[in-house]
Amino acid sequence: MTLLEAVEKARAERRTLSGGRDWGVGLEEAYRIQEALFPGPLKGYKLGLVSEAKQRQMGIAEPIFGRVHPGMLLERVVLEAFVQPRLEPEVAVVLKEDLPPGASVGEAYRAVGGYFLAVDVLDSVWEGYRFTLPEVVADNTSGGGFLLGRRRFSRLPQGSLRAYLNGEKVAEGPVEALGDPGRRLLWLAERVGGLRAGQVVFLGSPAQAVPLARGVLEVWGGGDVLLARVV
Amino acid sequence: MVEPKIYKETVERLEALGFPFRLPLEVTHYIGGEFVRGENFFPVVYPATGEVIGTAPEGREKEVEQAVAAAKEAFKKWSKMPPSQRRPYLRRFAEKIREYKPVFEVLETLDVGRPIHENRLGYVDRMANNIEFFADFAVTHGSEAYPMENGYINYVLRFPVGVAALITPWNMPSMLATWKIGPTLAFGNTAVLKPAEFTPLGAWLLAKCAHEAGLPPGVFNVVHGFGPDSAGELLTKHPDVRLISFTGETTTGKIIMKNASDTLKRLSMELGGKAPNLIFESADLDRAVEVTMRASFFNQGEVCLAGSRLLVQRSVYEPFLERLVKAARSLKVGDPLDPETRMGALIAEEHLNKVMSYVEIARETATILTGGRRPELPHPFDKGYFLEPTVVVDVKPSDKVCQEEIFGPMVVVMPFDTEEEAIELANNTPYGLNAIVQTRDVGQAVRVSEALEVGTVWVNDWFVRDLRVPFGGAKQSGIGREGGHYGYEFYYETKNVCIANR
Repeated sequence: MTLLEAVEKARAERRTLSGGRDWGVGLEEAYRIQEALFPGPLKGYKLGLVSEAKQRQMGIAEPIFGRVHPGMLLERVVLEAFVQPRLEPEVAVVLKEDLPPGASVGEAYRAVGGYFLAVDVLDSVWEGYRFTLPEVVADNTSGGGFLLGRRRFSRLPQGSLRAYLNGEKVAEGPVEALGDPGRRLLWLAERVGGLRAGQVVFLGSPAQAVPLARGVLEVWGGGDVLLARVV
Repeated sequence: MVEPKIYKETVERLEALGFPFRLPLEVTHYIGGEFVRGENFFPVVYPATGEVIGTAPEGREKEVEQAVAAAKEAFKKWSKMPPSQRRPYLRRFAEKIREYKPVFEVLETLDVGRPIHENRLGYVDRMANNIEFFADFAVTHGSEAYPMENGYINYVLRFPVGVAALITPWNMPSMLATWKIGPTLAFGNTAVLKPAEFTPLGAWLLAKCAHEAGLPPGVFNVVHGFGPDSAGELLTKHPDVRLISFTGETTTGKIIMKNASDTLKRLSMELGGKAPNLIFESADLDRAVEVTMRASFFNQGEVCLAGSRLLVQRSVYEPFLERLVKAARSLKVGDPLDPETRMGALIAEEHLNKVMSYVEIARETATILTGGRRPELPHPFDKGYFLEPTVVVDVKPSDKVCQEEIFGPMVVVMPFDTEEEAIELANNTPYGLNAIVQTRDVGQAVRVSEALEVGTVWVNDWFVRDLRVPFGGAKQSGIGREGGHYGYEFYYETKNVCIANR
């Protein structure tokens, strides 16, 4: 079975695979598999491995990305819809202008319509999230579902992002660990052949992903809160 | 009338939680199994921002008449049910409360201004348990028999009394309502709850829970409103109200007793306090500071049980104070809905002003070691009723700040030398609700506990509640005891049957 077939089957059947195998697939091939498995139209993209530590761990010098479809933007989280749901507190950018490849950092910032608190509800077919780089990329960079906060920030919120499940803090990290959003957008625009107005880009998480559980999920950052029910 | 920011966020929060009510927050009465919109609306204010977040109706003659009549009618059947038949209704009621747990957590904070963190320390589970416990308890209890030597036997029967008015305060609205609802309904009475006007939201959701649990109409009613010349006073004078369980200020309690005397109602009164917190030299100081922080500043110190008079043995006075001040300064005051916040806002502007008047007295006559100021908070919390945790020293036992209930985040500290002196200081107020004794000397714990003129003593802890044990105040802190079988005297009518053997 090929990597494409394995991921496709596991996603369809909502079961896990043991990762860490050599499929004879490189990174670029893995992105082609991702595109084949998760074709457009797209609502946007998610970034993964944004911290240098995580990149080093996976043996790569840049982030990775996954595809966000309209149906992946959630109002509330239904655990049953996922294989191995985990959560990461994030910040997302919504674009108000197109961003072609080769644009400047200034143009990237001008294309930003606003920043929003966000939650990346990760999902992976790879058992225990143990995977190789091609495996995770082919599996849409653990793309599951996404929640967006309601308040628009005109600048990247400062301070830390904190995630709580039923009032208990489960993840925390500094927003600055996300890196320079303008440069991230440029990198992504280069990688995917340009971004379009109305698309949303999830900038990645400054904290470790943690298992999701039923109850009330809160993400605090920049003095605002994103709140959702997990059922 | 509504400033958009917090109002909008509140609505969004409740929406995200699947809040079942129509928005904006339009609180209703609950009378005879129906939600009644009412008239004469008053604003519901979020203490942390001073914003109006909804409205509640003021119940007057009409609503009180209807609610009491509905409760009286429902009493006919409810009181005749054996406890085992009432139990499933009450269990469903408790289950509903648990189901709405995240909503109660938010509403309590919107009502009171208390940090949501404190609502998550088992608060809602305790609410549900308050009802469930008494539903089970009523099933299990028996009664006494007294055989006589000359051919007679006595036995004791207990039966429900009638319609109860439950008048609850604003500091722990949902918790204290369920303390009363549990035994009232489990022992076969029916109830009209009148929550404090500052905090109508929790009672509104309790009504929703009772309704969805399928309680027979009229068994549990909620009428909102004020005390004097309003729903509260009308209930306390109503001839068909047979019992009043009241928790609140001593001055209000005295008025209620006067009102109730014409119709000879049963009264259970849990009133004010000025609890001493005695720290002896053998105490584990780290633990003593931790207990003291809770006892002083939990719910912004707006707790009748608050350990607001610290009596500290002179040999540990300095090190204890040093640690206490450090802990008080590190307490995070601010947005009550932020899970990291450890102290929220006082209930209302007029109450903040009252507490500040004691701060001003302390500034004149004593030393404020820390606090005493409104903290500087970002918008919109700059409009909230916040006060820093405040510790006052250099006071005399007769000072106003040592004698009167402040009901805010302000404690006074006095040193003592001997155990006898500590006891004398501890008993030296008109109040006698409770006391805290912190010592590792068992003999001392026993001696001091015996000598304190209070209803409850906690040794090396605070506010631990077992529903089986008696709860109530001595001296000016109350009349009667609730909890377990101690509540029988109030919630049940008692009858003796004497039978001759011939």
